[in-house]
Amino acid sequence: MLNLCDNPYLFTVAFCAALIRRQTTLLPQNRSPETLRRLAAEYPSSYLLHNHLHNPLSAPNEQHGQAGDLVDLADLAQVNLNQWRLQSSRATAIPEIERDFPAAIAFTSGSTGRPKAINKPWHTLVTSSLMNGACMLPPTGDLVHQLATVPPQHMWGLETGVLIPLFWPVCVADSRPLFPADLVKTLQALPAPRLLVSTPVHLRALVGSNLPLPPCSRILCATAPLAADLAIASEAATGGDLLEIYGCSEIGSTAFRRTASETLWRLIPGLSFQPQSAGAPPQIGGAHLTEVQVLQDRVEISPEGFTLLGRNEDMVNVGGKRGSLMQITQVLLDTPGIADAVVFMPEDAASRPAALVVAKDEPSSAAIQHYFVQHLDTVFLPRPLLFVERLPREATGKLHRAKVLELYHAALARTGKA
Amino acid sequence: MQTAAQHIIAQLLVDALNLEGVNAAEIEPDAPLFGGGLGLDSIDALEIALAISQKFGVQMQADDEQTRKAFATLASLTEFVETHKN
Repeated sequence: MLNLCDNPYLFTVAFCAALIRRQTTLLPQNRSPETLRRLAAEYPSSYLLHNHLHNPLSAPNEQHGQAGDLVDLADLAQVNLNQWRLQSSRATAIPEIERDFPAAIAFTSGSTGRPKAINKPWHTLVTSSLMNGACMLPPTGDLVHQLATVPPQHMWGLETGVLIPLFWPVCVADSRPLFPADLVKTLQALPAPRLLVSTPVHLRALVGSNLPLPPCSRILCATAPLAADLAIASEAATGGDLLEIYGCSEIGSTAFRRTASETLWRLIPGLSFQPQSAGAPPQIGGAHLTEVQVLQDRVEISPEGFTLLGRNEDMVNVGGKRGSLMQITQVLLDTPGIADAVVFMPEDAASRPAALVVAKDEPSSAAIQHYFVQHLDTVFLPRPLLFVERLPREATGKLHRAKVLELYHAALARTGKA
Repeated sequence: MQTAAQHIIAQLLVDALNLEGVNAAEIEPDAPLFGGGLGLDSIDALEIALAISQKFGVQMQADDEQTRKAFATLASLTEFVETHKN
């Protein structure tokens, strides 16, 4: 079952219903028609559940037939839960789910640029939820009221917005507000103690809005590195402590720190570094994991915790969505009218990837965008995307980052915006 | 043609979203902002809302029908800001 429900409650109902019927929930990385078509082809008996989105942007998308709408998937059975009258039934016994049942499959950009399927057996989700709740929830054990700004299809959103509430005394707000004013209103409607689950992008907008916030006992933030000053400002605005969580789709939440006052990360109890030879990439194990996992980052381990030394350079994270620069480059190279392209993270503005493109026959920006959103999520569309005469390739075809950046700055200067 | 007020908002969009290669004057007042030629997404909506709240003191709210309409085009966004600013 492809669960595209945007509404946290409907997502959870659909997830649990699928579980009881022993259907596996597929968690698509994005809603692009290409992604959905590919999943439907790979999992031929699948169907799609959605709730036709309260997302403010869905209306224009639907109107104009761009990425984000769900038309043109003729072979894929689709059910809109908003058109159903869901009725609560009297609860029956808590169902027994076999420990190895494949409850969910997450997808993430593999190092080859092809999306990689990550199996989540039921026992992994149960144990990780118990570990995560013990580590992330306020220690009082009281019922907390949670607002999550992250989509449930993302591992961070699934773990915090769907799974922790199934195992811990957490009551979840049935909406996923985008704008700060909506977020504040939803938080105000929740009784204390409040728990806010978010990302650096959302927190920056929230704190930047200068709206008065109701007190939150705790903020959890993940998906991309959080600046210490934003962590401090978030704590000041809510009066609660902020735990930043480091994780990846393969393991889920992995480590935590109080970013306002700590630099060292600690592994979530239940996870441990595996002994390994010097220089090898760090590996994490846990009794609930199906196999030992290699981290995407290099780390330096000390007795009190560890420091992250930087990401595997191909991986980028835009608004909580993980992409591969290689894959983005490949989509640009496949675009009609483009002869050569390089996609990279410029050092100054780390929020989005940028691209230098060599045109064959001057494709319009609109044509490039149109092709792109058919294949990848719009957030990965490089910005700026600058046209250049040629790329500074070595004889071997290699591109050196320094030379790419030099050309990038020159091209940027020509646009008058550097 | 953009009005003076629309041009201010168009320039704010280009600056807030780092839309290199887009000339603010060329954003059509009545063309769709999202799902259209600019290729904007929900992170952009958040950036736009932040920029507008900082520059004009106007808070956007998605559960408000007006906001949803405001994000349709440059013209509607400008009208929304003009109506709500202090």
